[in-house]
Amino acid sequence: MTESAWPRRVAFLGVLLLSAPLGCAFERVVINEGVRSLDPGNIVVGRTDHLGVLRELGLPPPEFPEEVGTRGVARDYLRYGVFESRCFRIGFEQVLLISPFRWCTRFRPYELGVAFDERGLVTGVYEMHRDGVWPPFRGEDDLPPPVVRALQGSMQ
Amino acid sequence: MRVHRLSLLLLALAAAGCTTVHTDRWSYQEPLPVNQTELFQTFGLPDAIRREQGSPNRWLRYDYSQIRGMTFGARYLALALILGRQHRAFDRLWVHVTTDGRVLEWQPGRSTPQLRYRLWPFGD
Repeated sequence: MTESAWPRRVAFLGVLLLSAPLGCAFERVVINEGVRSLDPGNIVVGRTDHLGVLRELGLPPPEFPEEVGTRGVARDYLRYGVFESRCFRIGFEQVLLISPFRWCTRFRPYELGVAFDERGLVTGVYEMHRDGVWPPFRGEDDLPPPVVRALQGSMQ
Repeated sequence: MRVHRLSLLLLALAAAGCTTVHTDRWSYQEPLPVNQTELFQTFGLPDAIRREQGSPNRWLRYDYSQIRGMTFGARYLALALILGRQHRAFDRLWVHVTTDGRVLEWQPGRSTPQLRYRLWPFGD
């Protein structure tokens, strides 16, 4: 290795490091955002049945569009969830290196749940708010617990 | 020129990118929730509820998945070499709850801790 090769190598490393921020990408995808606007106000515990909930809120939307129509409707619990994915990526495509360096988190920031008893009548309507990992290097252990409250019925 | 190509190859190998994806998590931690209220406040709403045949008690299901992996490669003109490997783990926790909301039993899958991150993409 010649001495003259070192400056060139340092320059190459410098270009690599400088190009990394140029290749940063933040991606955020939210699915079923409309679930947040569902109004379960007309659902009454002990009176509204399974069919009544489906008439009021519609079918629970799936997480992935390709699942539409492929799953049966659960009998004991209906889940209406907003799904969100957040990704952070560093790329070195400018210097011909393929290096995804990709960190993703998928979580449910909001969810509406309706539980039924053995007769098919509503026993509780619950909503949940949950925080996701962000910024990308934040740990899962730093997350606060989900916030759940009963809109109808009790938490028991 | 040979040195330049070699350094490009070394950099490609050094630029091993890691990919991680995880979904909502629950963790088997002490003390365990003793009733449904604590359960919801700790783990959130369940992924599903299943009723026992001939019993009013319920089984609440919590799912967790994790994907870890790495990919690296290099591009030279129209040629690209990409090596990658992903590890996926799925775990499922069942919690047995009575009609008055008491937690009777836990059945954790405990398969997620078996997921290990391996740098070498061709197996153990």
